[in-house]
This record gives sequence, C-alpha cells and structure tokens, in this order.
Amino acid sequence: MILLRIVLKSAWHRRTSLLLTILSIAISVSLLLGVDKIRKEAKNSFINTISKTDLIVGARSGPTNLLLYSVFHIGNATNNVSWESYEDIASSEEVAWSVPISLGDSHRSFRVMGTNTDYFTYYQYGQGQTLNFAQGQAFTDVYDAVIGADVAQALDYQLGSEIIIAHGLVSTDFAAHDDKPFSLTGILAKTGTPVDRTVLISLEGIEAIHVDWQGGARSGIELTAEQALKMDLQPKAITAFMIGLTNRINTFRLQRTITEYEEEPLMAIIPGATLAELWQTIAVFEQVLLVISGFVLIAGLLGMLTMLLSTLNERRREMAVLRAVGAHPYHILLLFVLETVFIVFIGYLLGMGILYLLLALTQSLLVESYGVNIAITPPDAQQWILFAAILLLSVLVSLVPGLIAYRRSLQDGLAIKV
Amino acid sequence: MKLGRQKRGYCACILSAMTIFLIASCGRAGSSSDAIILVTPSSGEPAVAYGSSLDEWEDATQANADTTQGEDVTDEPTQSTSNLAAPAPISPIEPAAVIETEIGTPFILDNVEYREIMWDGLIPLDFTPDAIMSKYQKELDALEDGSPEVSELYSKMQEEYNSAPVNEVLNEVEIRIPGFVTPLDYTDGIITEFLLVPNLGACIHVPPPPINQTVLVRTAEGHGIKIEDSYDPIWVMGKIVTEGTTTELASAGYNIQEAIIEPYQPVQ
Repeated sequence: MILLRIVLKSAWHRRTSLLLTILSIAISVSLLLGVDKIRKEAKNSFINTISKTDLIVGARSGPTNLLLYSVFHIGNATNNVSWESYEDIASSEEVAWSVPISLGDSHRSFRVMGTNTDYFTYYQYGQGQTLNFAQGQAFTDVYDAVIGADVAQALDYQLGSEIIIAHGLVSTDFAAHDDKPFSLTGILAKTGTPVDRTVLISLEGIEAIHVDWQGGARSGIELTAEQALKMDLQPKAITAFMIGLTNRINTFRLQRTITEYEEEPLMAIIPGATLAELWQTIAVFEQVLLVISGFVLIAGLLGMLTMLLSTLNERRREMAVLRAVGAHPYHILLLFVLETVFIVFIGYLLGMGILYLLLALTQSLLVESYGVNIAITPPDAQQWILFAAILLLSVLVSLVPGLIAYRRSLQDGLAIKV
Repeated sequence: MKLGRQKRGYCACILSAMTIFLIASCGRAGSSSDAIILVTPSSGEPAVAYGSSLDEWEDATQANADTTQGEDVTDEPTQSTSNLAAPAPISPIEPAAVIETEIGTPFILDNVEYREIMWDGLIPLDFTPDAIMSKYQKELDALEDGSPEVSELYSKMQEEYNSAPVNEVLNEVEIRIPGFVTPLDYTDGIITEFLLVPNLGACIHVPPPPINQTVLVRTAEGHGIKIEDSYDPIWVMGKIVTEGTTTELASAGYNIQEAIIEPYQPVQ
C-alpha cells in the first residue's frame, strides 16, 4: 500500500529519534512483561513446592516462619522439637505417616537437611510427584548423603564424591565438620523445588557430626568418624516434622491437639492454608509492581507522543506536499496512526526479545540464589491481550498529533506560514 | 507551536480520555477480593465457653428464643462485629418440624435439585446444643451455680458435643451449603481439595469445630478455586456422603466429591 511505503520512508528519514523512541518503548514493555512473568512463575514454583502433606509441626513460632524454614529452607527455626514429642504425636491414631526433618547445617551455601528414608517415600510436590533418583539411591549408612539436582550441577559432584558439612548456614573452614566427611550415594532428579538445592543426610548423620559439638562449639575432645559411629546416634531433637493423616477431616482436631500439647510448646500448620495466607500478603506487592510497570509503559508512550508532537512543525511541508499530490486529509491522520502503531509494534517485539534474552542469561542464577525457576515459555493469552491493548492505546496516542496535522493540512496550502 | 483554543480542547479531551482508560484498566486488573463477611454460625457452637456462668447461657438462649422463629434456612447468616462479645445465640430447633428445616428450600442448577442447608443442619438431632442441654438439665438444676461440679458437667457436655457424629439423614443428599475454604490440595494455584468450615480463621477461644461441622470437599473439573480467592465465602453444591456411624476417627466425616462452587453473595 502506498501510504505504508510513505510511512516507512518517512520514518527511515527520521530514524535516529525513532530508534530511541522504539528503545524506550521496548524497555518499558520488557519491564511489564518481565514483572508479569516472574510473578506467575514465582507463584507456581512456590505453590508447587509441597503437596499432599496435611500438617507440618514445629516449635511454636509463627505459621509463615514454620512454612518458610521447613519447606523452603528460608529463615531459621526458633527452637527444636524433642524426639519424645515427635514419637508421641506420630503414634496417634490420626496419623498415617510422618517424616522428621532436622535443619541447621550447610554445605558450600546449600542447606543440609537431616531426615530418614521416609522422606523419599512421602514427600510430594507439584501434582503428587514423589522424589526420584537420577543416579544412585538413598542413604543406607550414617555417613551417606543425597543431593538435589542443582547442587550436583553447581558443584559438579558424582556418586562417591566427598562432602564436608559445615555448621551453620555459611560454609567456612573454621566451622566445618571436616573430621567427618560424607560420601555421596544419590543424586535426585530435578524437581523445580527447593529440594534441588538441598543436601540430604540421615538423622544419625546429623547426630554423628555433632557428638563433639555438644557445647554449641567444637569441644576439645575430638572424636573421629569411626569413634562417633560407636556412640548412641539416636536423635534427641529434630527441627520439624511432616504429617499425613488417615482422614483429612481430623485436620483441625489434631492441629488443636498439637497446639495445646502440654509437654512442649509446639505448633502445627496446614501447608495449603498457610501458603494461601502467605500469598495474600505477597499479592499486595504483586499489584504494586504491576502498577509501577504500567506507569513505566505510560511514560514510554508519552515520550513517543512528545517526539511526534515536537516534530510536527518540521513535517508541515511534508504534509503539504502530500496534500498537493492528492492525499486526503484523513490520509494525513492515517499516516500518524500507522507510524505510531509501527513504532509500538516494533518496540513490543524488541521488548519481548530483550526479556527472553535476559531470562536466558539469568535463569540459572535465579534458581541458585532464590530458588525460583522461571521457565522460558511463549507468551500466554493474557500477554497477547496486553499486546493488543497496548496497540490500541498507541492508536489513541497517535490521534493527538494526527488530528492536529489533519486540521493544519486543511488550513495550509503549499506556502506555509510558519 | 501555537494551538488554537479548539485544538487545545481536542488535546485535553484525548489526553484525559486516555488517562481515564488507563486508570480504569489498571483498576480492573488489580481487583481486590470482595469484603469478607464473617459467618458466625447461627447455632451449632455452644454458647458455653469455659468458665462462663449458667446465667449467661440461659440469657442467651432466652434472648434467642424470643427473636428467632424456628429455622429459616433462607436467612442470611448474622454478622458479628466482635468474637469476644455475647455468646453466640442458639436458635432452638423444633423437633417436629425438623425435616422441613434441616433440609431446606430446593435450588436447581443444571437439572440437579440441591437442598439448601445451613451448618446446624449437619448436627444430628440428639447432639444439638439444645438436646444435650435438655439431657443434662435435671443434673444442672440440682447443682449450685459456679461450683466445680458445674464446670465438670459443662466439660462433659462439651465433650459430648464435640464427639457428635454425622447426621445420617443427609447421606447421599444433594445439598447446597455456604462456608469458607481451608485449602488442602492445589494444582498450579487452583485449589482442588479443601475443608469447608463455617468460620474463617477459627479463634482460639473456643474448641475447634467438631467433626460434623467440617466437610471435606473435592471440586469438580473446572470448579477449582484460585488461591487468591480462597478467603472469600462460597456456595458448595454436591452430593454429601456421611462416612461411618460412629466417631471412629479413621472413618468419620462428611465428604462431598465433584462439588460445584459458586461465590457467596450475601443479600443485604
């Protein structure tokens, strides 16, 4: 179409300023889409971390705190749960299965979790998927360890590799349990949950590395790995435990029993309910982020409007010439509309490109540091609707200079009184 | 450039239209949940809290007997501004009219007739607070007010109330019941299995709801609830199944499979 060719040629003539405008639109679009994508992916990976667990029990703190440290390994427990309490509650008739967990150590910035082999049977995530081994098997010996997929990838471990556990959350030489090395017996398949970033050892393993740490720090009496094996490795306390019930109707009753447990201050949370609560809190920030991105986009569009209006004067002759060769006034309007739509279209596609490029580059970093797995998927229906809405908005924006030029072209002749 | 007055007007119109359009679309995109109406059960939880006196309880039943005229299940649940104020009023259930009041007015959706029911309808007759009260009335009258025996008796009555079994009358009945969601299972942010309860965020001051005031619901295909909307009250429609005749913990409870969910809109 001739008009389109004229638009393109005219745009090419002013390519420098147009390029900058396109870039500003692209950046605002990639911000908007990026926030939307991260929000959706974070929510999914968050929510799909645990399923089919009816109650999680830990020392009394707060529900969100317990959920975060037991499932997401974020934050710390305020106190422990004694083994007696665990056994007492786990043996109630309402409980179908239970899995104890023990946290507090780390290995080269990956959290170490002590548990028993029931964890591999009963822990489920996503749509009821259980943990599978990519290589090897669960621990059988006190000094065996199993690692998640991301740990294996980041630290390049194979079966049989030696692992030194460090005390506390950050691994340093002076806080390491280097007298008791562990050997890798299994590597889990990728799950997209915090399990990928965890090193799993047995509860007896946790006890063994702490036999000479009873005072809270390394004591003068050093026990070798073999000597530790001879000691009583029955755990005296754990950090938390997960419960599955025989009948879910009893959830509230058992939850209340645990909360009122007289032997020890404990609390029980329903993971689904606490996750919903947590998400309600985050939802506010979600909305704020979206609103901010919306404003950035508006800023980009207004920048474009400014550029169009400011060059309007220079283009009066161009419009006059076009009128002279037979263009109708509405062609002038259409010229502006097409140009704006063209700019926004290219800007949007460029923005998407920038976003995908950034995601591709930072994907592994995000998983390692924040545990958020952002899948690079094509845009969903909602994002295409957003595209259409932005194009519509740009048409409205273009009407401003378009109508001005339309009116002027009616008044001006070839001799323009500037 | 100089804009004539008319053109200035043009520009102002267009710019304000754009702004309004944007704000409107932002507003719709960031819609927040509707106001949450706290559903206090009109009956079903005993007005007796630990340590409260018999007089208070009697006043409460008296006051309630004066105001309510039997059970009208099309009533909207009462709104309570404070959980710590007067004990929850109990509406007396006339045993004779029980069949009409328990299984309420029919509601048709997709050619299935659902009976609308409120939470007190889930309690079998022998175990309503009234019934338990009348059972122990003579003993209560014989005891002195405020004595430890009275507290003991209340605890016993409480236990009996809490151990109340499910109402067998409702087995395999298609019902429509409102309530709040406690999520259990979810897929990609859509809740597919949950516990339906009469109140949101049960307070610590009273014991947890007895087994017959909780319904385990599994949603039908396409009727899952988004996790953001899980705080809003809903209507649940489906066939309720009562499992077990005793309070054998492993098997007791109300169950609705293939439930259809609708948002709850209170009529004010």
